[in-house]
Amino acid sequence: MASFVLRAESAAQAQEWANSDPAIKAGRLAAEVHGPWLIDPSAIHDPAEPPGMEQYTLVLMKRGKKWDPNAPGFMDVMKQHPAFVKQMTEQGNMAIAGPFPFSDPGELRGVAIFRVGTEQTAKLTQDDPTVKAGLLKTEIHPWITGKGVLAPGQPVQ
Amino acid sequence: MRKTIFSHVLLLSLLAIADSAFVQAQTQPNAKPAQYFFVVLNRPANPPQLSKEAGEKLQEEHMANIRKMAAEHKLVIAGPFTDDTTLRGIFCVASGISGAGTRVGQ
Repeated sequence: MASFVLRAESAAQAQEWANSDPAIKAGRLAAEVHGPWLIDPSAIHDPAEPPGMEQYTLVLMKRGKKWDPNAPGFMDVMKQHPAFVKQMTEQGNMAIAGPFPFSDPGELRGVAIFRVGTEQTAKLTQDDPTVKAGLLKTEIHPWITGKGVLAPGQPVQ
Repeated sequence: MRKTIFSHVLLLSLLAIADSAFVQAQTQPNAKPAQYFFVVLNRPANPPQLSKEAGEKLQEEHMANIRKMAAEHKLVIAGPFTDDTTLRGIFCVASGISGAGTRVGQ
């Protein structure tokens, strides 16, 4: 129960910080908070000096047709997912990835950031056991961020 | 001889303790907050229209605020999408209480 309160407080704080953005205040952007995002903090670094931008591919992992945590076999497939993430990371394809807890409602179940382009990312994610089994589906977007923050990406297109 | 072995063992165990304390110090989450939140930035259905000047000024303020939050270690990842959908960007903010959040949400 205490942890629930802490989490709620943290999510509220995250929302408050996001809302400090002038573009959000002006109504030009709207912030949607998900989390906690269960990631490996050691994958995040301070930006490089001099600053620059690098190209990545961001994958929104959403509920697939067969998403049902209560279905038999669901957890068996989910348990195969970390091995896929490990393989993608070790092969240098993935920069960071993490799920949202089951208690976090909504379509978005996790986010993965790939170091390769959108086409290659689309191809690679087809081998994710959770995608193969229809538990999750991918929504793929090109995305850029500050150089040095994540494992190196591609030059900005 | 016996004394030497003893002191060797003692030294080794002291080193082992020092080593594990060092590893612990390196991996303690104190330096970084325990929880990360993923924020999706969407373009609302009917955003207010701005003049070119006002739009540029707002963009500058938006970037300045990103730099400020990053300097405060609140914002750890930020970036825009480079395709043209209603999804405009993401923030990853570090929030919560250090060391207390690792069990949360598991």
